[in-house]
Parts: sequence; C-alpha cells; structure tokens
Amino acid sequence: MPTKTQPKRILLIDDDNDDNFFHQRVISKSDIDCEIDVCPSGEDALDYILRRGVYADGLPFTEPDLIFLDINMPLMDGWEFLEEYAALAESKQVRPSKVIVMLSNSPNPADRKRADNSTFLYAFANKPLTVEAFQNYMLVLEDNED
Amino acid sequence: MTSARGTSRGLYQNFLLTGDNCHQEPIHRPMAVQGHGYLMAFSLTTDLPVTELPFLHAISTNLAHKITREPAALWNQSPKTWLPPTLLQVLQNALAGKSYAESNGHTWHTDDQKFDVSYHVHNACLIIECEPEPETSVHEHLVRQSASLMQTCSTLEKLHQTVCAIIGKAFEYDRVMVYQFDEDKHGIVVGEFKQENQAPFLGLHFPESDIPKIARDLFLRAKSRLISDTHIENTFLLFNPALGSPPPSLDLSYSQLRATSPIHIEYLGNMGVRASLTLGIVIGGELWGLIACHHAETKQVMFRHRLIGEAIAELFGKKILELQIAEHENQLQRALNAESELMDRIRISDHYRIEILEQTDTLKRLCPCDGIALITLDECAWSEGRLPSLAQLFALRDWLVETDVSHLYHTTNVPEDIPIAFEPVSVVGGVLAVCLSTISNSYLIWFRQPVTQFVNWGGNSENSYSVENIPGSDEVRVSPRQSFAKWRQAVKGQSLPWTNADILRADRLRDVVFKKELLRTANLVQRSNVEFTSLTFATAHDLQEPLRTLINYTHLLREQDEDSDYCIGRIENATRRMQGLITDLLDYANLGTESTPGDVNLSQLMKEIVYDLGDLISDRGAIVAVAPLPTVRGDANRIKQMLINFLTNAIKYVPKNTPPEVQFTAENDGNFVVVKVRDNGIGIDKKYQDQIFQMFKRLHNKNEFEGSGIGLAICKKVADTHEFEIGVNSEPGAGATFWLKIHSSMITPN
Repeated sequence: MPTKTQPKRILLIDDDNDDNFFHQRVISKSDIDCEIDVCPSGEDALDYILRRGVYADGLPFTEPDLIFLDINMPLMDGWEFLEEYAALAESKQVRPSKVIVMLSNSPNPADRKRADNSTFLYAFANKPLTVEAFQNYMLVLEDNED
Repeated sequence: MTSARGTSRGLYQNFLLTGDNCHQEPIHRPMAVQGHGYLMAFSLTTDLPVTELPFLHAISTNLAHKITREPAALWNQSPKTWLPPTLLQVLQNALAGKSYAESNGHTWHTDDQKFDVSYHVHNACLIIECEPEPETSVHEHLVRQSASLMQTCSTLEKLHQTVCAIIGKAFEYDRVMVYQFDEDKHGIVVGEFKQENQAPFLGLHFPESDIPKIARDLFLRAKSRLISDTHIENTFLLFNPALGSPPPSLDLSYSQLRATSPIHIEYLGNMGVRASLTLGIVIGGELWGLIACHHAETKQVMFRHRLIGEAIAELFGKKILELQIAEHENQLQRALNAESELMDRIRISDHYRIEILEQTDTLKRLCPCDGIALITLDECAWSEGRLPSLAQLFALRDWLVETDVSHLYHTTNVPEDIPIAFEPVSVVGGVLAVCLSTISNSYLIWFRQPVTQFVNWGGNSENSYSVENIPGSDEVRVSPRQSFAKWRQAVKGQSLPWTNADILRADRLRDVVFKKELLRTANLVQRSNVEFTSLTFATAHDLQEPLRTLINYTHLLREQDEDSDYCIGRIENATRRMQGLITDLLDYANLGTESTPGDVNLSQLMKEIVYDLGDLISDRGAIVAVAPLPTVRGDANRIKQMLINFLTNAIKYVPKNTPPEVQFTAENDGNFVVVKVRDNGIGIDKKYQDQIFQMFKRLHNKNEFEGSGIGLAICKKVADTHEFEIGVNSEPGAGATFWLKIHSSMITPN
C-alpha cells in the first residue's frame, strides 16, 4: 500500500522532445518528489503500461499516478490512446491513474467539449504545464488517496 | 377561236404571257375550255336588270352551236325553252339545292355520244359541265383493295410504291408518280409505277417552276385535275352581252374543263404525255405533294371516278402522316433505349469527361460522324477522327461561347454559317455541338465532312424556260425545257444533314452531363468551404507548437539556467520547422489559383528536378533513375511540385544508413499510362495507405523524420485537378511505389 512518503510516478506521453524537456523541468522545479517516465507515442505508452515489448523486463512495476497526455501525436493521437486505455481499465487489466490530464496546443472547442464528456480525463489544459498547475494536480492526487 | 401553241393570245382577260410573268399566269380564269367538253355558267344573283334568274352568264362556243343555229338568241330566252331535257333536269336539281353526290350524276345522250354531266356552284355561279364518257372504265375491284393494301405498308417507300401501283392499274395510266415537295417546293419523285419500256423518273428532282405556286394553290381547292387530250384545241366562252364588253372573266377554279396553260401543254408534250390526271395530297392543310398520272394516248376519266381518286389521295395523306409519326416515335424509343447505359455510366462516374472519352464508340453511334471532339477550358481538347487542328478547335469553341450557344447548335453548311477558316477546307462540312458546361465552357462536338451530293434533276434545272419572240408581233413564246434526261448537279460544301434522331440524342447527352457538372461544381464549392475551415484550425494549431517551443527556450536562455548552445539549437530547429510549414502551406494555397496549362514533357521536367535537388541527392548518396516518361497536358509548375514531393519523400523516408534508390517509370495500361515512383524506403502500413494523402497527416514523430504532413496532400490536389488517379502500393520495410494513372486524352503524342 503506497504511503505518502513514496515518490509519485508521473508518465509523460508526448512525441515532442522539447515539450518533454520543458515538462520535466517544470516538475523538477516543483520540489515534489517524483519519478518521471516518458513515452514518445501512444503505442509506446501502452507497451509501458502493459509491460510488453521493450518494457517486458519482468521487473516490479507500479502504475503511474499521474499521466500527462498530449493530443497531437502521429499514428495514435491522445484520444485514440485514451480509448484503448479506458478499454483496458474496464476489463480490469490495468488500474487507471487517478489523474489524467490532457495537454494541448489548440484551443479547438471541439476538443474541449470532448474532454468534458470524458469520464477518464481529470482535466484538459493548455501547454505549457506550469509549476503551479502541477502542484495543484499533486494536491488533488493526495486528496483522492484519502 | 384557238390560240397558237405556246402563246396565250386571247386566253386570259387583261393578261399576256411574257418571259417574266409566267408565275403570275391566271390559270384559274381562262376564257376558254377544253374542246372535247361543254360548259355552261348560270348566274344565281345579279345587279343587272334581268327578268328571270338564273340567267345564262356564259356558254362554250361548241355547246352554243350544238343547241342552236343562233347563239345570240340564247341570252334573252329562259333556259327552259332551249335546254335539252336532261340538262334542264340537272339545272333544276342544282337550283333545288341538291348536291352532286345526292343527284348521283347524269348522262346526257346526244346523237353520237354519251356525256357525263356534273356541276358545282362557285361565286354565286352555277357551272354545268358535260364530259364525254370514256370507253374504258376504272377497275373498281382494285380500288376497293386500296385501303387494306395501304394499311399493310410499314414504310413510306413501300406506301408510295403501293399507291402508284393501285392507281396505275386501276385507272390504267402508263405512268403514275408520287411527287413530293421539299422545303423550297422543288419536287422529288418518291414513288413510281411505269411501263417496262419507259425511263424511270424515280429519284429525280424537278424545279419549283414546273408546278408553280398558282397551280399548287389551285390543288388546295380542287383536288383533282384532268387533262384528257393535249392535242384538242380549246373552245372559247361566249359571254352574255348584258355583262358588258369586255366581259368580266369567270372563275373556273373548280371547273374540270377549264383550258390548260399553254406552257403546261407544251411541257407535257415534251415529256411525251398526251393525257394526265393529277391528284393533290393535302396534309395538315398544306399541299404535301401530288399523285401525277401520265398517259401517252388520250384518256378520259369520269367525274365520279375522279372523286374516287381524290378519296384514295386523302387516305394516302392520312397514311403518310401516320407513318411519319410512327417513325418519329421509333426514333425516340431507340434513342431512349440505346443510350441509357451511357447515361447511367456518366451519372455514377466522378470524372464524366473520362467516361465520355472511354465511350467513343457509343458516341459515334449516337450521331454518325467523321470526327468527334471534347473541348474543356483550355486544358484539354480531346479529339478523334478527321478534324481541324487543335488551335482551330479552340477557335470554334470560342465562337460558340461568343454566340451564346449554351444548349445546342448544328449546321450542315459550315463554310457559310461559321466564320472560321478551317483548314484544310475539305475537313469540316457540318457541325453538331452541345454545351456540357457553361461554367467551364465545355463543348462536345460532332463533325461531318462535306460531301459532294448529287441531286438528280429531270432536265437541266437552270434552263426551265426558254423565251423567244414570235416574228411579226409583240408576243413571246415561252417554252418549257425539252429534255427531261437526268441532269446531275453536284452540290458541294455541305455535309449530310443531321437527322432529328441525331439532334435528339445529342441533346439528351448534354442534359445529363450539364446537370452533373452543375452538381459537381456545387459539391466542389461546399467541399472547399469545409476544407478551408478545417485547414485554418489545423494550421493555427501546427504553427503554435513550434512557436511555443521558441518562447519556452527563449525564457530558458534568459534565465541562463540551461546550456545556451543547446537552447539556441532547439530554437533554430523550431524556427526551421515553422518556415517549412509556412512554405508548404503557401504551396498548397497556390494550387487554388488559376493554372497555366500546356504540354509538359515529364522526362525534361525530371532532368530539371534532378539538377535542382543536386545537393540533396549527393548529400544522401541517393541514386535516381528516370525511364522515358510521356508528355502530358497540364500545368508545368504544379506537376513539377508534385514530382519534387515524390522524390524528396523517397529520399527522406529511408532507414538509417541506407542510401535511397528511386526509380521513375511509365507503362501502358489500356487507355491509360501509369507513371510510377518506386523507392527502397521504410514503406507504409496498409492501414495508413489511404490516409497519407490527407492534410497534415504524418506517420512519424518529429524526431524520426521531419515534415509538415502537407507534401502528399499537395500531390493529391495536383493529381485531382489534372484528373490523374493517384495512389500507393507498399509493404512496411519493403519500400513504396507511388503511382499516377493518366488517361490517354491527357497525353500529348511526341
């Protein structure tokens, strides 16, 4: 059973190197104890969660507490990943993270509306992720664990 | 009194025949009648102070002399006193209002002859005529068969022949012809019955002047005309002195015995005809033609038998109309049936133009022609067959646009009707053009060569009359031509006429395509609008990404917290991405502007491209092979753009440390040429092969391969506007082959 003293696991799913660089920087500047993993694509993220492919190392694994998910990725975009992830959660193959935040460049209202209708997403936010926003998400996470 | 042959002296009141006034000859009111019969005219009303009505208006000289030795006495005495009993009976029947049919004819016996008596009333004048009964009669049993015989005829040709045979055999005339008037009232012999030893007149044309308007008009009134003997001299009418001097002429339009025009007498004589019977064929209130019976010897036909002839002519007219309508309906039905498949194909196809071109055989069957061309905008004129040059085709299209042809146009006389000097002159005689789209000024045009048509005239049509002065007088002698030998006239410059069926079918085709084009254009506009909106969103989104990266790294630089070289490198990368994106977007946007079509030599174009991209090619160690490629019709810049995109993609998407190998080839595939670009790159998964042509669609993230996702969208747009098909075949890891399928109509032969 995770305790409050254990570091939080964060998963970044984004194909943009620069965004990943910035977000990791923001997280480390927040002074919260975290471990960060980065998956450059939706496919890769599924492999990571299911411990298959390059991630089939047999080592002990804790599912991420917080996922930051980019919408705009080639091949499998954020929505498509979310669908797959939701299906896995439904079938009890994974334990879904409490907080999943979708990050986006675009202010396209259709995306925002779709996010509002989603039961899995906690939030829909614009890039870049700020220190303050991150800290808020972490608080939410702690609250939910109570 | 008689008139000299060929002259009209004394024949008409106030009219003398000259070379110029033949067409005005007042043939309905001669002052004489044919000499073998008798005529009396009684006025039924009058302004004159007379004691008793009717009074004798006029009487033929021969009858007057037969009745009495003193013709002058007839004027003052009541007809009851001097008319022979039979004729008196006839007069009384007529006055009692009995029609000829009711009174059923009368026979007047004189010492040496039997006369068939008939009468009619015209212009308040009762005219009684006595014609000698003929020795031979009409074969009435043949006449009775006429209705059923005509009914069995399914074509006009057969009908004409049948009617000629019926009348020829029943009435025993040497030659019977069906003589049809054309638009200009020239006559054509379309049916004939004749004796074996006679030269045929079937198929010959006769000039309008042979049966002038005055004669044609008379046939609308009195439907039959009998000339029983051209050799008999006329007998003049004696007029009641009470009418004044000179007496007013008598309207003999409905008289059977009225004297014949001297020109016509001579005309018949030149043809070897001594007796004739002519029946008018009236359809729709107009004189469609005549049944002309000719006999080498004299021949008389009784009044009631002439009426039978008129009845046959009337039935004939109705049957002609019936067949004409049936044939028109047949044409309609054939048009509807035969072309429905073509129409369906055009309806369901996106590229109707290519569909049309693939159906050339059907098109040529649609309207038989020597050549056919489809002209759309300036980009493409496809043509097949004997046709003028491309430049002239465009000139023709421009003329059609100028003269506002938005539907259909046809002519069989191009040299006169169209002000374009086609070369060679012998190529274009007739044109049938339909407008397929007023938006793109597209026309489908059928062409016919001019043909030298031979019109066979009965005698030289240009010399219908000759006029000579009669020595010793101021009269002239007008003679019709003597020779009826077949005279061929070559009519040049016109094509064979476009039938109603041709025009109908062309119109139907036009209808289907025109509507389709309208629909397509409407769809296009709607798609454009949708595309524009989504493109705008996508663009904004895709630009913001590198822009944000720029800003972030700039902040980092300012904070001096990270390695500045690294930051600056990432800034450069981001700005480059933005430039690339904007350039590609501009390229895409340019595709929406007007294009400049021309002949694009793809081999030549590839040489330029390989030269332009020389640095890239050598940097990557790429090997580019170009086989001979066709010359296509299109916009050179845009096609170059498309080929550049294919090539750069092929060079870019290779596994690491693999030199790219690219081959450009072209091969035939039926009516198409397929241009292929094969590479040895990473390949494309089947499930993405349709999507990659979409805007902004990328299959790889930016770290693996750079790109805006617009390149292939540009290729597709160029292909679409040029009506090329575009696609890709590929297996992941086994390279990809992009292909363009180009219809032969877009290929310019070298």
